[in-house]
Amino acid sequence: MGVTTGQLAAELAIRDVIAAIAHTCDWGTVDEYVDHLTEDAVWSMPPNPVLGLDATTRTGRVEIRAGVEERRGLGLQGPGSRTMHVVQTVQIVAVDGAEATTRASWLYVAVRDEGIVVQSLGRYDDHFRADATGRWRLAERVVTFL
Amino acid sequence: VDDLAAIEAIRHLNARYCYAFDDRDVDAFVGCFTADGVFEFAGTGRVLRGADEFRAAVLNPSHSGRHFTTDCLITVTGASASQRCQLIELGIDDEQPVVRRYGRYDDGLVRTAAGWRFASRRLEYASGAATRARPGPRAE
Repeated sequence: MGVTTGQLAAELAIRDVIAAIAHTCDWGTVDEYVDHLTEDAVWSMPPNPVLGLDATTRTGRVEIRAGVEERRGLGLQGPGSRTMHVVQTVQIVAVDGAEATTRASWLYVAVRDEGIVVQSLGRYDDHFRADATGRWRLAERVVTFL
Repeated sequence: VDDLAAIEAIRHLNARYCYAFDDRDVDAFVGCFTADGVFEFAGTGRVLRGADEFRAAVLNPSHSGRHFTTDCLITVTGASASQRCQLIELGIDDEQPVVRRYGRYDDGLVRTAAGWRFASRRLEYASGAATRARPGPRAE
C-alpha cells in the first residue's frame, strides 16, 4: 500500500508543530507557544543538573505555561536569552486517525562565559492529537537528556 | 499535493543553499536567489543585493564550517511562499568541533520558471554575530 496524500499532509503538519514549538520557545510569545499544546497536554522533564532544575511533570496549559514563564524569568530560554533549540531527526512513528507518536533528537545551545556551548542534548518522545478541524497539537512530551 | 511538492522543493533549496555557501560554489549560491534577491543581516543594516555582493560573501576567506538548517516552517501561497527555519553553524577550531553561531532565517520565496528561489533572506543571530574567533579555512 502506498502512502496517501492525507497521511503525508498529517505527517507534514505534525513536523510543523514540532518545529513551531521550537521556534515559539526561542522567538515567540508564551501565548504563541502554548497554542501548540492541547488543553490537557502533559510535559515531563527529567532533572537537569546543568541548569539546576528538578524533575517535573506539568499537566495542562496553565502548568506548562508557568514552567515556560519560570524558565524565561531565569533567562534560560526565550527572546533575548541568546539560547536556541535545534530539533533534528524527526521520526513519525505512527499516525492513527487523530493520534500520532513521534520521536526527535534535540540540542539546546547557549552563550555562556566560555563562548557558545551545546548546553544539553537529548530526545523528545511526543504524542500528538488532531482536533475536529484537523489541527494537530502536542498532547504529551517526554524529554530525555543524553 | 501541489503544496506538498512545493514544500519538498523548498527543502531541497535549503539544502542547496547550505552546500553552495559551505563549498564556496558561487554560481550555485547565486542560483538560489531571484535576480533581484536580497539577503539581510537583521539588526545590522547590512544587506546584500545582486550576484556581485553574493559572490563576495561566498568567497569571504573568513568563512569555514558548515551550515545546518532545521525546524523549517514553510507556508505556500500559490507562486509565493514564506519560511522560518533555525540555523546552526558548526566548524572546527583547534581540531575540535564547535558551534560558531546560531539563529533564524525568515524567508520570502517565489516560484520561477526554474523552480523555487529566495526573493529575500533575513538572518537574525540569537547567539550574536561573532562570539567565537573564526580562523580561516584549514589547508587540506
